Parts: sequence; structure tokens; C-alpha cells
Amino acid sequence: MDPELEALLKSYDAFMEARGGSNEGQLFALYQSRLDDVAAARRLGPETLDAAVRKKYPRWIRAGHRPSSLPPKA
Amino acid sequence: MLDLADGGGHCLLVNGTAISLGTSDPGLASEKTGQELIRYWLDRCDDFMDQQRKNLVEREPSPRELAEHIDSLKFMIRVTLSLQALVADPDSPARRFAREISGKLLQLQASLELFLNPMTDAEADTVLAAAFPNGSGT
Repeated sequence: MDPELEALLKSYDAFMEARGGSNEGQLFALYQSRLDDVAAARRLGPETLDAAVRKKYPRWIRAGHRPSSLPPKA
Repeated sequence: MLDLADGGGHCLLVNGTAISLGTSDPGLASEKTGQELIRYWLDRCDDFMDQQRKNLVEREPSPRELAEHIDSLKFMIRVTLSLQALVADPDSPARRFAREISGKLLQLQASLELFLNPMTDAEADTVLAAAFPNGSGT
């Protein structure tokens, strides 16, 4: 899998797996920032890429991918 | 001698010694109750997200399970929105929970978008294959 796509999926997973309420906003902002960067680089609409990543997310989880840690932003 | 010390009935004077009745300021009591309610709800949101992960993300749900979950999710969002409005009051003593409530709301709303995403798997694969030519499959 492309490392940038995997980083996007890991960012989204980190946001969805946050608990307690304190970090969710920050993790969502991180995902959005990554998404915007990748969409701009690939000349894609961020909404389209976002929908595609979210659609991919459950299949990626079911395939057994779990992040060991949140990757740093490039 | 028995005397009500502050007119509010929160403290008794018995032979000159003040004895607290435990329910000091009614405002403080309601503040504590409100904060306990918010903490309880935030914990329930976390439990809900854990169940969602286990039953709808890690495995394929049945159409009925998905429909029931979406109904529950909408209820969770409605209640959380109400709490967000409550703590947004500038005089609310629970304002310190605003960030946590916003965070959980964001997660619940993202969950709803996840399950109501109109894009098909095939469409998503096409978008991702075009965007990531080095590989988009699992």
C-alpha cells in the first residue's frame, strides 16, 4: 500500500480511536491537514478523497491493519 | 441551644458549635450533579465508540444491525449537541467540559458520515487507485 494512503488511514484511525474527549479535535485536524496536503498534491477534491478514504477504512481495519503509533506528519 | 446558622439550613449551631449538614450550597450541589452527568455521558460515548469499533468496523454488520446502529448514533449526536449547548452558556460552571464534548461530537458525527457514505467500494477503489499509483489495496 502507498505510504501516504496508509498514513491517511492511520491518522483517521487515531482520531476514531481517541477516547476521553481531550484529543479528538486535534487528531481530526491532523487528519484533515494530511488529507488536504495529499489532495492538493494529487489534484483531487478533498471531499472526494475524504469519502474514498472513509470508505476504505473499515476494509483496511478488517484486513488486520492496526497502527502501532500515530505517524508524524510529513 | 439549636439554631439554623445561615437561613438556608446547611449548618446547625449546637451550643455554639457549627455542624455541617453536608449539602452546603445548593448551587454547588447542582454544579456537581451537572458535572457528573457530563462525565457519565462522555464515558457512555466512549463505550459506544468501543462497541461500534467491535461490531461495525472490525466486522461487516448485517443491514439490520447497521440500521439500528445509525438510529442509536443519531440519538447520541442529539444528546451530545444538547450538552454542547448547555456548556456553551457563558455562565455555565461546566464550561471546562466544552472541549471534551466537542471532541466526542466530532467523532460521533464522523461515525455517521462513515456509515452513510454514499460512495461505493468500487468508486472508492477507483479514486484511490488514481490517487495512489504505488498501491491502494490492502
